[in-house]
Amino acid sequence: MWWRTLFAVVVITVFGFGTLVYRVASIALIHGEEYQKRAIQQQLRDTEISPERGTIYDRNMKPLAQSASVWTIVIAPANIKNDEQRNFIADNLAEILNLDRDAIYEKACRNTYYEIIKRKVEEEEQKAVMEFATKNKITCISRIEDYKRYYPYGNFAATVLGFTGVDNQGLYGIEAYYDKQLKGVPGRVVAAKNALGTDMPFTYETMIEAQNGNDLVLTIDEVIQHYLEKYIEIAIKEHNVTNRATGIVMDVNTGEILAMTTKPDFDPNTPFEIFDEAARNRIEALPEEERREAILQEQAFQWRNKAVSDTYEPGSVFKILTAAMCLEEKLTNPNEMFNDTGSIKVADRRYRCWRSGGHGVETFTDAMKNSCNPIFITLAQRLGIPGFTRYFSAFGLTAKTGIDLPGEATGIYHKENEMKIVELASSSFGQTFKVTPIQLITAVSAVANGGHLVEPYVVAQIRDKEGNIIESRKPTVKRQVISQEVSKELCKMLEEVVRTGTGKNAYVPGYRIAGKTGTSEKIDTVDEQGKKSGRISSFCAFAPADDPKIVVLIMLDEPHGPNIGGGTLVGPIVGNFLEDVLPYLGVGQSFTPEELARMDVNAPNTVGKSIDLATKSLKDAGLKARVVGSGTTVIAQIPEAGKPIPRSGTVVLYTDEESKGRTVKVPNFVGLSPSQVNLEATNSGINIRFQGAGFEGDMPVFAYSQSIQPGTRVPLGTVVSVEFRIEDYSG
Amino acid sequence: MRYEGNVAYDLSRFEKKKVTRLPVKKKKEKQRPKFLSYISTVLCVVVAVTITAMMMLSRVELNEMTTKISKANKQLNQLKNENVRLTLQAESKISLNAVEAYATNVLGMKKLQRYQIEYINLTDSDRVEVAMADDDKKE
Repeated sequence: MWWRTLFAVVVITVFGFGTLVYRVASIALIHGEEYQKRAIQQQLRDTEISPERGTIYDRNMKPLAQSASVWTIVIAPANIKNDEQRNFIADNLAEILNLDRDAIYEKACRNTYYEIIKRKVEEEEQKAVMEFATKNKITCISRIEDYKRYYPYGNFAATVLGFTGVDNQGLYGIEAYYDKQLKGVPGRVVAAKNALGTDMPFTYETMIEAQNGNDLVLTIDEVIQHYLEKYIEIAIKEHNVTNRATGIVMDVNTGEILAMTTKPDFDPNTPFEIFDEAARNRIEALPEEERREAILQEQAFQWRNKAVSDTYEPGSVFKILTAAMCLEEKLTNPNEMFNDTGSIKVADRRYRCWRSGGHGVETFTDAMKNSCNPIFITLAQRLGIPGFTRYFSAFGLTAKTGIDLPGEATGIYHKENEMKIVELASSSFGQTFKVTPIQLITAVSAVANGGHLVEPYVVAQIRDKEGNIIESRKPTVKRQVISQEVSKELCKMLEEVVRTGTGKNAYVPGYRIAGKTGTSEKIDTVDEQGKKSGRISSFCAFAPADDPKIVVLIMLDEPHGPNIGGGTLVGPIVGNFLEDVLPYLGVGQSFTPEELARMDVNAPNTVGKSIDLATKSLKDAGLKARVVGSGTTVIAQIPEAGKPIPRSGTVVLYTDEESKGRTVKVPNFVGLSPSQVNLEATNSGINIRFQGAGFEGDMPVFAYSQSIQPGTRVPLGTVVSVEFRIEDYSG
Repeated sequence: MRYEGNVAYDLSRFEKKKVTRLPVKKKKEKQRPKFLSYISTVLCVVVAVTITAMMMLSRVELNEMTTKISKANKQLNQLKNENVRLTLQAESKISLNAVEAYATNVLGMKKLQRYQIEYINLTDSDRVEVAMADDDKKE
C-alpha cells in the first residue's frame, strides 16, 4: 500500500515541480555566469566621487575662494512622450531656471538621452525643478551633482586669485598656478543599487575615498588689499586712466605680497562677463560681426595681471637704483655738489631737466629730491656701461622674479654689447627699457631692506582639509646687491624726496615715508601726428624710512589731465594709502616740533566770561581773539568750545545778539599759495586748516581743494580745511 | 558403582515437546495522545517559519536602514553645502567695501580726520595706573 503512496508522491513531485527544478538548474548551472554578468551590469554602479576643490584664504584665514555643491539639470529628450509634454517642460523649466524657453525646447526636440539644460544650479532652483518633475510625474528630468566656485568678495583681488572653468579647473591666477594642489584626486565607489536607484547592502561594496584638494593660505592681507583697491579705483576715475592701473604692496624684508591689484578687473564669479562699463559700452557700439572678437579681446584684457605680465618704462623711480649703484661704487656721496645748468649733451642728443634753466648748484640729495635728469646721466657715465649692466642684472631686472603667479614676463632691456652712451644716458633715468612692476618693487625693496634681493611670493602655506600644514614657504634671499650703509644713506635721501621734494604729496604728518615719483614716456604709443603720447605716472614709497616694513608701488597707465606728473597724481594716493595702512600695521606716529606746531587745539570755553578774561584764556591756548559786537561779556563763540581749531587760529567772540547772525562768504582758495590763502582767510574772517603736502623745502605748494565750497556763507571764524599739493613736472 | 535409582530413561524427555508459549505480557507503551503530536508538528512548523520570517525581516530591515542612512548622508551633505554657500553669502555682505559703503551712505559716518585726534604729551615722570576695582580690593 505504502509503496503505491510513495510512487504517487514521486510522480507528483517529478511532474509538479520538475519543471521548476529544471528551470532553477538551468538558471543556476547552465546560464549562471551569463545572468551574473547581467545582474552586475544592472545593479552595480561604478561612480566617480568628485573631490572638493581646496579653499583659498587670505593671511588672516578669511576665505577668498571656496567651493560648494551645486547641480546640473539634464533631460532625456528621447523619453518625452509627445509635443504637448515637450512644450510643458520647456515653459516651466524656462520660468524656474530663468532661461530662454526656445533654447530649452530646441534641446528637448533632440533624439538623445542626455541634454544639459543648466549647470551650476543652486539648491532652491534644483528643488523647484525636482518638485515640478515629481508633481507632474515627468521622469525625463534629472540632476547631477557638481561643484561651484564661490568668490564671496566679488572682484576683490580678482587678477591674483584668477578663476575656474566649467569643469572646476583653474584657468588664471592662483587657481591655475596651484591647480594641482587645489583640485584633489577623484575617488571611486562600486555599490549595488536597486530599481529605485538607492543603495543596497552589498558584500563586495568598494569605496576609494576622494582626496579633497588642499587649501592655500595667501600672504595677501584683506585690509591692505581693500585700501589699495579703493584708492586705485578713485585715481582711475579722478584722472581718467585709460589703460588700467596697478598697485603692489610688499613686505620689504620677506618678499610677502601683502596686496596686489590691477583695475579695472573682473568678477571671478562671472569671469566671462565684461566688468568695465566703459568697455561694455564700446563693444555695444560695434557692428554685430565685430563684437565676438572684441569680447574675446576684452576678456583677455580684463583677466591680465598687469603687475606681473606687463612691462613698462619705470621713469624716474629707476633713479633709486641708479643712485644705489653709484653710492655702492663710491662714485658719489649724498653731499657731493653738482651744477644743473638745465641740460646735458650726450653724443648727438641733448637731455633737458624738467625745470627750465636747471636747478643750479645742488647736492646729490637735492638732485634726487628735484629728480634732476642731467645729474643722473652724469653719474651713470661715471659708472660706465659694464658697471651699469652688472648692477642692472644684480637687481634682478634681467630675469623673472620667480613669483608664484602665472604669466610673469621679463623686461626688455639693453644688453651690455648693444648699449651705447646714449642708451646709458636714457637708462639712468628709467627710459628706453621696460621692466615689470613686480621686478621694480623687488629691486626697490633691496634698497630699503639693507641690500638683500628677496624673492616675492603670494602663497604662504598649503594645508589639508583638517588644517595640517603640508608646506610652508619661507622667505628666500637671492643675493646681497648693495651694502647696509648704502641702503641707510639712500633711505635718508628718499625720505627727503617725500619731506621736501617732488614726493611731498605723499607726506603724512607723524610718519617717516621715503619714496620716488616717476613720469615716463611710452615709446611705443604714438598719437595721430606720430608723436609719443602715452604717459605713465607712478610712485614707489616705503615706510617707515628709518626701519622699512612695507613698500608700495602704484602705476597709472595713460592718465589724462592738465598735469600728469607722478608726484601730482599718484603722490596723494600713496599718502592716503599709507595713512590708512600704517596704523593698521601698528606703526606709531611720532611728530616733529614743526608738525606739532601745525596741529589743532580744542577751543577753550569763553562763553560767559568778560572780554579780557576770554582773550587771556585764548592767548594761553595759543589762539587769537576777534571780538564782534558792543557788549562786554561773551555770549557765543566760533568755533564752539571743545571744537578743534588750528594753532594760531582766531576765535570769534560775539558779545551781542545782533552780531551773532553775521556771516561771510568763503573765498576760492584753489590754486593759491599758502601765504595767499592765509591772506584771503584773514581778510574774510575765516580760519584755515592746512592739510596735504608739507611746506618745507623749495617745492612750491598750491591749494588743491577746500572743504567748504567757494561762495558759501558761513559764520565768522568758521574753520575751512584746505588741501595743498605740489605740481610735479619732473620725469 | 551401579546406578540403583528408579529413574528409567524417560524417553519422553527426548521427544519433541510441544512448547506452549505463554502469552508474553507486552509492556504497555505509553500511548501519547494524538493531539500532542499535532502540537509538536505545528510548533516545529511555526519555529521553522518564524526563523525564515526573521531572516527575511532582518534582510528587509537591513535594506531599509541602508536606505535611511544613505538618505540621511545625502541630506547631511546637502546641508553642509548649503552652510558653505550661505556663509559665503553672509561674508560677502560684510566685506570691507560693503561696511564702508553702509557707514558712509546710510549712517552718514566720515573718515576720522587728523584734527579730531587729540595728542597728549607724556613726560618721563608721568605714568598710567589702572584703578583697582572694588572686588579686587576686598580680596
